[in-house]
Amino acid sequence: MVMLGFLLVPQRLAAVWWICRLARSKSISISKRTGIWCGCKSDPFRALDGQKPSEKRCLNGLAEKRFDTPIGPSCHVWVVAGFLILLLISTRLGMPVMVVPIFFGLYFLMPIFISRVQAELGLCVHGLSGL
Amino acid sequence: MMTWMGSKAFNKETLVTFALYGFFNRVYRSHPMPHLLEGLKMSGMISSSAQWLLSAVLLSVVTSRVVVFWVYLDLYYRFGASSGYFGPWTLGFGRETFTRLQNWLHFPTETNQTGLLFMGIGLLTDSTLTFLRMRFLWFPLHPLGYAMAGDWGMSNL
Repeated sequence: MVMLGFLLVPQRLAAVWWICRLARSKSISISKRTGIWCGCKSDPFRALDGQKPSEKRCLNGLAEKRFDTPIGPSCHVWVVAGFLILLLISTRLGMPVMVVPIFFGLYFLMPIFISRVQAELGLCVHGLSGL
Repeated sequence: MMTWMGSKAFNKETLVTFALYGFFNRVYRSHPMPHLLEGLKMSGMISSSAQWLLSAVLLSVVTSRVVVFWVYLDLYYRFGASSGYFGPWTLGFGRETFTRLQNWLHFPTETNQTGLLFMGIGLLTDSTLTFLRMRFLWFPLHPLGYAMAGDWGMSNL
């Protein structure tokens, strides 16, 4: 997970139904301030660690405001249901049950990767949100 | 997976399924999910209903599927698929998919050791870039740049 951290999206994208399970998992540490997985702080935040408490509060407030996308409880159901549908179709086509999670696991890394690219470097919508 | 295990590791049904899944797994430059996320982000910014947006997207998926199949079949039957009216952008993708399947079935491959080696080098390089990017604010090379450098879209820039 540490090595693949660059593929994963910030926490605010975790509301996507098939990512939410990972995002809500207690076994994966996510930095609430930076959205970086594995709990690593980015350098701007680490640089401000020694600053005054008022500045920290301000910074935390801004960061909390960024992650305002709600994660609905039904997304867990959608994760399971979506995977079961894919499993059913694939096995009916003749794919062994063990191959299906590997295939779709590798496949879903791609949209996560592309979403991360678009979230960081893509359309101007994300940039506008910070204005 | 073919690089990792080779086509010998899979039965014929699995290879056929891989070929049938080629329509969403061929390339990822037109992947719908990032665009949908952008749409949801924009709807959130203007306080629009995300549920209505999702419903509209799902409706368009169903409608466009029927329309596109109808248009293709209608044109093929009217003019003939091999008549010269249709180029590689309409016929080539199917030919590519099933020619590849034919190769998998007729010429089974084993694990591509060289390919795996280069995949490992790529993973190691990008992991290093990620580590450096996360630790040093001044570090200029983004790990995504390395991953995207060989992409077809980048070659057109």
